This record gives sequence, structure tokens and C-alpha cells, in this order.
Amino acid sequence: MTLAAASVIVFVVLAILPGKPAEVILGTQATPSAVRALTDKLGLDKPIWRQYVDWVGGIVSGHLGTSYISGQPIASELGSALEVTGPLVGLGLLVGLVVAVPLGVFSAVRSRRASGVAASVLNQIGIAVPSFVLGILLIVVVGVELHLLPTGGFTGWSDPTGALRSLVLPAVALGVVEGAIVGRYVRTAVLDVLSSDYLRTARAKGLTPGRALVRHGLRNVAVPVLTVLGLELAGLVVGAVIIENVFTLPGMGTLLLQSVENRDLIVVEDIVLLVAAVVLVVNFAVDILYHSLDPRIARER
Amino acid sequence: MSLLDVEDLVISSAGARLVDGIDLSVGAGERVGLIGESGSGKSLTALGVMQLLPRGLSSTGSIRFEDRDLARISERARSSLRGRRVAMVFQEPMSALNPLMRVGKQIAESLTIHKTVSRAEAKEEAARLLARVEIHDPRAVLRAYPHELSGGQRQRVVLAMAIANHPVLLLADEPTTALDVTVQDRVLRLLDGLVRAEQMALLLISHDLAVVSGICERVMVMYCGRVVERAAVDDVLAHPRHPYTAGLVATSASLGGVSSAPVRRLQPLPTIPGTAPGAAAASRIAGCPFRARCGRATPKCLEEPRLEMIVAGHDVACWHPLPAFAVPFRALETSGGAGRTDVALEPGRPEPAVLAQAATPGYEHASPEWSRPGGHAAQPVSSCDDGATRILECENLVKLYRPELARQGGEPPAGLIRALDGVDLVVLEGDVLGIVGESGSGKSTLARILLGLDRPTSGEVRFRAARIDGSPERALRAMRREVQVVFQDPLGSLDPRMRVRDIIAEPLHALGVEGDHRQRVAELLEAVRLSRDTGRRYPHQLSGGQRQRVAIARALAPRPKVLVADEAVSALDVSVRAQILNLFAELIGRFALTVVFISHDIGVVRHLCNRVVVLYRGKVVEEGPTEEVLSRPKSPYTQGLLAAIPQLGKQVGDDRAPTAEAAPASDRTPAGGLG
Repeated sequence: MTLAAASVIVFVVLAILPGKPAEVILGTQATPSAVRALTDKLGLDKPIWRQYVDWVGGIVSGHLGTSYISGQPIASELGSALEVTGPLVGLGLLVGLVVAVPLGVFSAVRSRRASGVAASVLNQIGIAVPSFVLGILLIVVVGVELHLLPTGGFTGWSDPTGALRSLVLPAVALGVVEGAIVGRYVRTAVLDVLSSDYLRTARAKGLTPGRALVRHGLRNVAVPVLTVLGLELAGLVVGAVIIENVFTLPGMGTLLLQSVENRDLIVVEDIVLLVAAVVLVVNFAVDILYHSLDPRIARER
Repeated sequence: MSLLDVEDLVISSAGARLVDGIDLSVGAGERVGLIGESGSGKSLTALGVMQLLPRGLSSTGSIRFEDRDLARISERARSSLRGRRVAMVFQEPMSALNPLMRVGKQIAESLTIHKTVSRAEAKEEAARLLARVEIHDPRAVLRAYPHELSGGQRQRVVLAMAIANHPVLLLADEPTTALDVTVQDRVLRLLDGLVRAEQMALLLISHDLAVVSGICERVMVMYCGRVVERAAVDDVLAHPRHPYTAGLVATSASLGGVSSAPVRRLQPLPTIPGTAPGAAAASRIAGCPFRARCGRATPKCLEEPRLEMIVAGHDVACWHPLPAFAVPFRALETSGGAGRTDVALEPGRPEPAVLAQAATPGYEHASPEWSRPGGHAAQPVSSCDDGATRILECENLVKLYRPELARQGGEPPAGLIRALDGVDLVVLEGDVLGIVGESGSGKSTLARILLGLDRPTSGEVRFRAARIDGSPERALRAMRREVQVVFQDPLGSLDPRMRVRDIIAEPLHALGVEGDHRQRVAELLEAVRLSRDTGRRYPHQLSGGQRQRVAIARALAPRPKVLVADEAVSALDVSVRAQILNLFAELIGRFALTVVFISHDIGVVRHLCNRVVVLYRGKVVEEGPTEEVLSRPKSPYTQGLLAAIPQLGKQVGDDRAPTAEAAPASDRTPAGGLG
């Protein structure tokens, strides 16, 4: 349902966009008849609903269509882009969690001390810095000055170490910022748990503060944080678009930008739809995780 | 040398002394009660002893327990004592348990923290503990999550965790306040039995004098973070020396369920005028914190009184303690025929109604007609006279809930809950009808249906002979104006972002009432005895009692004929409860209100209502004139309900009336609970 709605919206918005694909492809010198011929060939002369039906019909039967520009099947272009973006988002998420959980827990537990306040301030700075700025900073410091890691490009997965090395900096740039945002939610959730009655009960039983938090607190913290994480994953995918350009990675973001420039509309449509599908799947997965985390939810259903 | 010796315990938050220098000792095997109203610092005292204060609070003073000062040893050392030598039971059993962990694991954890036992052994022991706290199906409960249990079961689980390691001292913070009367009775018996069998010392914290008097040997009374009186329970009940304690005793006695004396309905209850300033504010008051509410206050009271022994074993912090023979609360019961419930505090004074009258200008005064016995002669005391108009009635009301998919139409499958099961009810004009029942009895569902806020599955509801069940909201507008409601939780039911005057005027706007709303709001504030400038304030700036007055004023705004009060005084402290009940009684007379008063508390109903309906599992089990139902209950359920009410000076488990076994109510799994 949601996916169908998304497909319609994407399609309509792109159809309204100025700039005809054929004109862009053939350049400013093209004759009107050449443009018309190419328009016919690409099927863009058909009524818009017809184009939509063709597109969706193709997707349903597993054909994502052919790029207007390169003439390549989109599936293979998307596939190789995903090989970059997928791991990038995954690593970004990992970095995000590694930042968010300790930072959030620390700034909550120490909220009344200077160190906790300092952690909170650090956290706010993390939120305020855009990921591309951090990316550029990382390129300058780690890449250019220290020569530790590559600053751009992607060698492909045939060389796994090299591929991972080129993903480290973009993943850090992406993950730190998302992690800072999630960290705020972790902090709030931990503060809630710290003042909860059951944590007091746990301490009254004889658990030390740290053990009480680990044994009774963290799972309760995970419930609200999971929701945010589901939403933030969409943010990660969007962030990846920008970061890929900063680090010149041949991922989905780069592909998307190129396609928009070239008015390769069908590629744009496919990518947007794919992102929408990913977000839906993630949210569904979050729902399922909820059930395993919180026995009260299963009952409400 | 006592088991626990607390000296000069001070708990403060941002400069305010919430607990202000308390001395407390509990001997081995001794049972001590700590009495106080909300904000008196009694719970903080217990948490201070455990050194488990909420974040942001700090304590000073020494807490000697088994020859160690809990305030000075390391957190690790304290942790090894907590749960092993000293354990604690908390008020809200739902929030006190981890919602995401199975009960069995939580109990087993109490064991595994302190000793090395295998998982299987811990589980075996957990099952034994559950049996020990009289849980009927320990195996099933072990596997349950807290939300799958009833309130009574949860509290038993918390108790099981506390006694797991046979502690020598048990701190119980309002362990039964969140429970129904009959469940409370059984949990108290259990607690009493366990403490005696294990020879544990007990510090029982409660706002309810009757609960404490049923279990404890000694009692301490706290007010505004200070101990104002300390003595043996019998001593305090028979001869309270501090004016505050005397007021509490009198109020508790008059509200405490059944006594042999006839109750003069709608007569003012003895109250303590005013409200407690709250410990934070009290810490800025110089001198005796009770001064402003005290009829005996003199300039001397600007100096702070110290807790001093006045006779052996009886300590009081008051410059003008009451003489020993002043307030025998039993005399209050037997002298009911005199028509006065005021408490004679000072035999020397010609007008001894110190406690019933407001002593401080600006606080709530008892209205003038209150001091005249029989001031409410005009009160309609109809029972089922055919002459009176039927104003609200329902017939064969049935409400089904699906346990999981509540409130959905359609033909529900098997396994649904009958919230109401064929209820007939008639409210006559001028009636003050009490609906009594425990949680799950369907009383709140009934209220919602009577108010037209919910639809019955079948059956009819009529307001002035017109069907209202299933009517569209627009058709109910006329009725809304005439039927208003007061809910239990005054903070939750008032919009926190609205000023009091806007809250009160809102029903006037909503119902499109013409006229000068400002004038009406001023009248209403006066009617509920709130000062005019209260109108400018926000709900969170008010005390619980004041909030409930605002809620009442709001309900009265459109000049309703009928007032439905759903547990309207249950969330209030004893002394405030008496004030609000007096207000209700007064307003009933003044505005000729018809009232449906829903409560789990028979003492409350008894004071206000001319008729009472007892609801049990969605059915009316008994109905009739209040005095008759309460003095000669016919149904075994009503008998059990009455027997379960804690009474001053009555030992837990020392029964005069039929035992709780007669009550079919059970704190076992409610329908759909464990399934």
C-alpha cells in the first residue's frame, strides 16, 4: 500500500519536473525531429498513466527497465551501486551504535556531574556538525595529512581489505552524526530507567548500581531507542547519498545524482522506490523486534 | 542496642530539608509504624535508610544497622546488605517489577545475587517462596510477566523477593495502598504472618493509621519531614498528644468503615483544616510546621518544638500537647448520638470544635450551617419512594469486553470479559447513591455508560425517561449540561496548561451557556471554598485537595442536576479526604444535587449516601438503604468487604465479622490475566 503510494508520488513529481530526457541526451544542438524520434524510442510519447503502468508492470515482473542514457539494464547498475551503499550504511549504523550507546549511557549516568555535562555538550556538537563537513575534515586530517586511509574512490570487493579501507572514513562521517542524534534518545531513555521503580527494586535486592543498570535497565532502554533507530536508518540512507559524493564512491547516491542531472528518470524512480522499500522493510523488522523485546506488546495486539 | 538506629537523618534537595532531623530506632523483631500524609517525608525516610534516595537528593546523619553505619560504608558493602539483611517492599507493585523480565527470574535473582546457587536451585527456591506468599499456582506465576498478574499477585511477588534471604529488617512502604480492600486485608495478614514467623523487624510506612495499628506495636507520626509524635500504638490511638495526630485519629475513626455507632449522614466529619505545606515549603517555616493549621497555636509555636518525652514511652514535639484524656477515639464512636462529630481537644474551652473549624483565615472554612446540628434538615432522604422522579436509570445493562481487543463492535467470540452483567439501577431525584465495588467490579464501566461516554453491549440507559444509549453525541448535549462528572485523579483530569479559571469556565463555553462567565467562576470558587486568586493559577501549583475542588467547581459550572463522582476522593490523603467529603455533603444540600458516588471505600459511601449498590464482577449483589446494607449485609461478598476494612485498633486477622474467606473476591488471576 505505502509502496504503491510512494511509486505514484515519485512518478508524478518526476513527470512534472522540467527538462525532457531526450533533449538532455541529445544536447543543445539536436534537431526537433531527432528529439521526437528519441522520445518515441524511449516510450516517452505515451500518456503518463501508460508510462506508469509500464514501469510498475516491469518492476512487478522483475524488470527494472533500461537506463535512458547508458542503455544498460538498471538492475545491474543498481546492483553494483548497492555493493557500495549497502555496506556503507551497515558500517555507518555500526559506528552510530558504537557512538550512541556509550555516549548516551555515560551522559545519563553522569548527568549531574561535570563529565556527564561535557559528554552532553560533545553530543550536541555531534548533532550540529553536518556529515559532509565531518567527511571533509576526515579527508583532510586522516587522509591527506596522515595518509592512513584512502580519501576517495572504490576498488571493488575483489580486494576486500582495500574496499573496507575506503569505506572506513565515509562510514565514520556518516555514523558519528547519526550516532549523536540517537545518543540523545539513549540518554533520555537511560534517565527514565534510572528513575524507575524497578531499578530501585533491583538495587534494593542488592545489585550494585552498574549491575542493576545492565541487568534491568538496558533492555528497557532498547525499546524506545529501537523506534528511533528504525527512523534514523532512513536518515542514514539519505546521508549516504551526500557522503558518497564527498568520498567519490560509486554508490547509489552518486548514481542518483548523475541520473537526476541526465534526466535519466527511470533510474531515479527505481532508486527512490528502492529506498522506500528498504525503509518499510526496516520498520517492519523493528516491529518484529519489538515483540521479542517487550512481552506487553504481543498482548495488545 | 537496637537493630536499626537512625540519628539525625536529614534528607535535602537543593537546600530544602525534606526530612529534617529524624531519630528512629527499630529493635530486633519489633514492628514499628511510620505514619504521615503525602509529602511528609515518610517514604524518603525509608529510602534514606536504604540509601536508595532518588537522584538529586542527599542525606546526612547516621544510620546504624547491625553495628555498621549504612551512610558511611561503601556502596559495595551496602549492596551486600540490601536484600540480604535488610529488604524493602514498595508501594506500586506494577512499576516495582521489571516489565520485561519473567517473575521467576526476578525472584531467583534475589537469591543469586547473594549466594552461589545453581539456576535450577534458584528456580526451585523461587517456587517455594511464591508458595510461601500464598500464590496458588507458583509454577505458572514463575513464567509470567508482571503485567500478566493481578495487583495482589504482584505485591506478593515483591514480598517474595524481599523475604528471599530471610532479612532481619523489612521496610514496607505503603505495601497495600494500591490494592483493593479485600486484597489489602489478605496481603496485610500475609505480611503480619511472615514477619512474625520469620521474626523479622518491620518498619511499616503508611498514610493509613488503621493499617499500621493492625500490625505494629509502636508508631511514629511524621509531619512536614519531622516526627511529631512517637509512642505505642494503643497509646497514640487512645491518647494522641499532638494536635495533628489527634486530628488524624479522629478523621480515621470517622471514615474507617463500620463501627457500631450510627452515622449521621452528611454531617461534617472532623477534619484538620488547611493543607500540609509540603516538606520543601515547610523547611522554610520557622517554628512548628503545624502551627498554621493548629487551634492551639500560640506565639510560643514560632520556636521549633523538640521531640520530648512527656510520659514514659510517649514522645511529642509540641509546646501545647493535648492532655492524656482528650480524644478517646472510641468515645467518638459511642457518643455519636450527641450529634456532634467534632473532637473535644481542649476540655477547658467552651467551643471545643477546634479541629472541625478552620483556625486560620484564608483557609477553607466550614460553612456556618455546619456547626448547627440538623442544618441539613431540608435534605431529601428518599429511599425508593415512588413519589420521587426517576432521573437516571438503566435496565439489564450488559457490557462485554474482549480481553485483548477491547471496545470493538461485532459479535465477539468466546473468552470475553463481562464488565457488566445485567445491571439494573434507578437514581431518583435527590438520591445520593453509592456504588461500591472493587477493581474489576465494573463500577467505572457503569459510570462511563451512565454518562453516555460508552455504549452498553445490550440493555437500556434512560435519562429523564429518554433513551441515551446509542444516541449520537449531539443528542446528548442536553444531558451533558445536567449530568457532570468528577474523576479520581485531579491532576490527570485537569489540563496542565490551562489556568484554573479557564478550566472552570470551559464547560460553559463547551455547552454554549450564555452570561457572565467571570462572575460564575467567582461564585464557583467561593462554593468550593477556594480563594479568588486561585483562578489565576495552574493545576500543578495546587495541592491535591485544591485540585479536586477545582474539578468539582468545573463539574458544577453548568448547574447540573446530577453529579457522578468516580472515586473522587480515593487519591487524597485522609485529612484532605474528609475535607472534600464535607464539601460534597455541603454542596449536595446547597444545590439540591443528585449524586452517584462511585467508590471502593465503604467508609466514604457510608458518610454521604442514602442508598448503596454493591457491585461484584459486573453484577449487583446487594442494594438498599446505606445503613441497612452496611449494618446487616446479606450477601457474603458485602460481608467480606466490610470485614476487610482496616479499623483503628483492630489487629490484622482478629476478626469480628465473617472472615475474608466468605468473600468470593480473589486476587488470583483475573479473567484473561494469565491465559
